[in-house]
Amino acid sequence: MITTDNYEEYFLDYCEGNLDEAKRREVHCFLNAHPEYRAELEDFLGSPVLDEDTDIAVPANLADSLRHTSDYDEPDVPYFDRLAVLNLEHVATPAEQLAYSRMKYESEECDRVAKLYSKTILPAEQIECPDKRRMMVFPIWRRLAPYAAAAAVVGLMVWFSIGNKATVSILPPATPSVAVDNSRPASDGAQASRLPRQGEDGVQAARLPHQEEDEISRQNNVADTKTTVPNKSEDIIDEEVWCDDMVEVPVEIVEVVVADEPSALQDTTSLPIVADEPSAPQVEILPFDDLNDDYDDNNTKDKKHRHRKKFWFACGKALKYVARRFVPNVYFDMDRNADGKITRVAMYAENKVYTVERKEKPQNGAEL
Amino acid sequence: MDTTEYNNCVNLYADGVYRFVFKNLRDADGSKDIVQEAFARLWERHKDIDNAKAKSYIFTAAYHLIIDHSRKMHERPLMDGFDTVQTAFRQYTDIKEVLDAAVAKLPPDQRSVIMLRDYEGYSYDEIAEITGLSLSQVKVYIFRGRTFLRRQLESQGIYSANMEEAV
Repeated sequence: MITTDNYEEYFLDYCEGNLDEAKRREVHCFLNAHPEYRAELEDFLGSPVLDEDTDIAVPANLADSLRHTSDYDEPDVPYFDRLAVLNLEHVATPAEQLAYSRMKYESEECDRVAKLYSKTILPAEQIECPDKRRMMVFPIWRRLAPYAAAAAVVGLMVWFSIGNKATVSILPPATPSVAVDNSRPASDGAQASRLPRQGEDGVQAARLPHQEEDEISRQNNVADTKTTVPNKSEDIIDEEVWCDDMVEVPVEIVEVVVADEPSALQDTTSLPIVADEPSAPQVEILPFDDLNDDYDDNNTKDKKHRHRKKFWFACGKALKYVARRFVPNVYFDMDRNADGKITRVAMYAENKVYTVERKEKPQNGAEL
Repeated sequence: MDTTEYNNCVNLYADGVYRFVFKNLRDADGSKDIVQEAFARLWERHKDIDNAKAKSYIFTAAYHLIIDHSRKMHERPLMDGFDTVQTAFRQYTDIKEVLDAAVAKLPPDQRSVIMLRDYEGYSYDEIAEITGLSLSQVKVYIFRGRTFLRRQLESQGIYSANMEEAV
């Protein structure tokens, strides 16, 4: 019989599950009579006294008193639900764990409920917080860094734009740096303006020393120019940046002498072109490489055709460049006659020299 | 707590706090605002708050902000109304959908404690500290919440027989 003197032994046996049904009922009756000992039993148990004991024919008054001692008390919830939640939350005592396992094993319904409870645990779900960096705190220099970078970029762009205009305005003067033969009359006609072919009359068979120097000077000048003339954008080109060494396309007869490279100037063909001829500005620009393999140089017709296509190419390219008035890495050189009119323009571009000579309109038209 | 520790807190806990708030409110913009407000409060008091207590402080602030937000939105607890009209005709194919829908119907207090328990792994004591509830209330809310979720799963046809297929 449990009394105030031996209740501790009963409590220990109660916790260890060593009491039979009658003894457990005695404990509950004792607790009902001495509720001050309930806390002590709960300390032994490590958790509140659950009303599992009410299932084993505990007197109604004691069952009610025990029922409301549980934190998980829910009058309308079956006993197994409480055990399931306690086990799910890993707060069940060993006795509760044992009872839970036993009931789950013995009852299919309990097993089903237990599985349902196991599904009530919220699954791990990765949701990323947007704008996380905005919540961070950075030193002021780090916060201003993007703005400083943007300002630097804008500043560079402005500087570059202004710098380009300044560069344009200090382009080399119109004075040709390349030695040209100004003694050649501008109105000599096609025959006069045609450069002599190598070995044609023995004059150019061997280059004169000053001509070689001129050639070297011309090549150096081309190289130097390429390094000093910056890339241009067409939007910044206007009349104010017009340079003296750039020419307008004259609406009159011009002659274009084309050469693959400066040293081969003497091996060129000069052909007249009417600049306002409708087809002239629409000349298709073909790369030189495309022109080299399709023709037989031994065939006079093909050779002439090839030279014509080269001519049209050069002419179209020259006109294009001139029309654009300014292109990157292009340098113009020119001769003027006594009236100040431009009589010859040499254009250095892409390692090639294009020469355009102004001529008086021939009486019988140009022979292509 | 210095600036570096605060930034570490943002890195470590922002996602968790956002998930906690978003799952409660189901409103991305409102959730973002609340998370930012919670971290703003942390930053305002960062000199007084120990780094070890930062996470608890953030979740506490977020929880209170959720409550305030819910009150502003006149949110009604859905525990009593099981939304039978919608659930009666809707068949979920994914158990996660059912669970999400059921969690959305939980009263705010129960929803919060279950999320703190499951998502963040807080103990009952920590949940009580964050939410300001007593330990017994936390236990009761968790029990009621679990029971409610179990019933919702059951009402949506998630039985043991086909549960494995559903999962």
